[in-house]
Amino acid sequence: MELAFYLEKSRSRGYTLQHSLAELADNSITHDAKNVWVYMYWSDDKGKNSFVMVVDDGNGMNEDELMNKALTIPKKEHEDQGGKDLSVFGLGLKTGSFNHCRSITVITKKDKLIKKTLNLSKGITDEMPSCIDCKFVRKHLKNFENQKSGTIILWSDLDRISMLRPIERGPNFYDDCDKSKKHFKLIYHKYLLENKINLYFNGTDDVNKTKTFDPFYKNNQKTIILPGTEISFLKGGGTILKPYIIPNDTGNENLNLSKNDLQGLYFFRKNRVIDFGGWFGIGEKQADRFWSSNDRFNRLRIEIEIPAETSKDWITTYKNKVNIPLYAVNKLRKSLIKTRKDYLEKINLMGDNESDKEPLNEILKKKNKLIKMLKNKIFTDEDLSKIESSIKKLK
Amino acid sequence: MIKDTNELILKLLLLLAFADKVYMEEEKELVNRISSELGVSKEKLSEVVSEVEKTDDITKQCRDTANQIQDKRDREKTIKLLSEMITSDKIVHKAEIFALQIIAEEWNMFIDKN
Repeated sequence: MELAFYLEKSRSRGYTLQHSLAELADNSITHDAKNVWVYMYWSDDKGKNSFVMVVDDGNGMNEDELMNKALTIPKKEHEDQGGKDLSVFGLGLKTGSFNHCRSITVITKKDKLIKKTLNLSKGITDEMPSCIDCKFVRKHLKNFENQKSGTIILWSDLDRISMLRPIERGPNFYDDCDKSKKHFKLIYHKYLLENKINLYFNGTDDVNKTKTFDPFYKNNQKTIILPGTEISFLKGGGTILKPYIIPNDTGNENLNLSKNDLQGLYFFRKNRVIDFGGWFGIGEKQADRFWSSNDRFNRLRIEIEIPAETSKDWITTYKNKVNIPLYAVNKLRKSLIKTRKDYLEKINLMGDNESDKEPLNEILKKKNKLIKMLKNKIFTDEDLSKIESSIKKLK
Repeated sequence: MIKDTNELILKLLLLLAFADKVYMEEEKELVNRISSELGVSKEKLSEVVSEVEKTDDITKQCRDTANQIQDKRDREKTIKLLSEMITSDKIVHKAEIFALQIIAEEWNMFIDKN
């Protein structure tokens, strides 16, 4: 019960649904899953029996791993297991989930099938939530039993999702699902590009598969790679800043974010984007203002890998925010000042060339054509006065 | 308890009509027309209407009713009729679209592309 009390107290950690679902997907990737299926099911008008279910085909857990790691607060600091271990603090399942629900049921299969529920009122029990009898869940459980190994995380009693919304709870629930999908295609884009994982939403068909979205457009020939900078920090660890000028004609990136929101820094940890967009409180030295996101820099995106040795200095406990540690700010600033300067020079140069080659739009095209016509014609006095009066009329 | 498929189809149409809390004249006309096409008697229709009127959980009723229609052709026919119902009063409500999504989801006829 002490555990439930602690978890109840730490419910409001500011997790959005997409961030919490990412915690579950991180666990799946850590446990070698090749496929992750996310299901969000709105059962009734008030959402009373609604649930969120995440299924994977990873290694699963044995009783010890489930009871002494997954469903409890670890007694010692999480030690990075290397490789694909995306866990930072070892708390994601609990803190992420309980920001939205009061009950987490874990069904896992390694050597044998184990089912446990961690409930904010009752602690760890063998009780299963009522939604387990829903036809939809039963169907997936049956399929799961035929899997060699894997884990199902089932959130029920979605009090924060169902109670805190006064109207249109159902449609908003599915809007959240859409946001999560968009979030996943960005933060896991490297995994998706390399076919290391398949992430499905509300189905198992190809159409349900999350497409990848590479914010750097690395496979686009028009993307320009600016020189990178290697930085090492006194406290240990280092990183490389990899700046990209993205193409001008990328269009709407369909992430519910503007080009300005998407400019700036992208912090990665083990190929997973932790936080992105903007300049993270960095600005010119001895200036009062930080760099803001604006049109001038909206084609500049910079990849930064968080140093593995010191990642806990950079990542907040709820793993969706990066706070650049003070010891790293000056070095980063120095590199970024140079990168931003390089970027502006390149953009200005490109701007000149581009305007020589092709007009920006139809109106400009017409203007240029008209000017050429006028240049090549010999006018009489009468012609000139006609043109002059026409222009005056236009004014 | 409704057992007949045509009555179930009518019930879904009515659930959609009541999803926005207002049963419009155009919706009534459409229900009457489809009801006679499906061969559902006026008495039965008014029974279904009063059942739906008393419903306090549209989402749950949509799911439960949709689940009782098993035949693929019936489902396809119903989806078409439901789309007609949504636009019958020339105003599309978010609640109606959501109810249609729920029904389509039950029948694996909903795809949310990204």
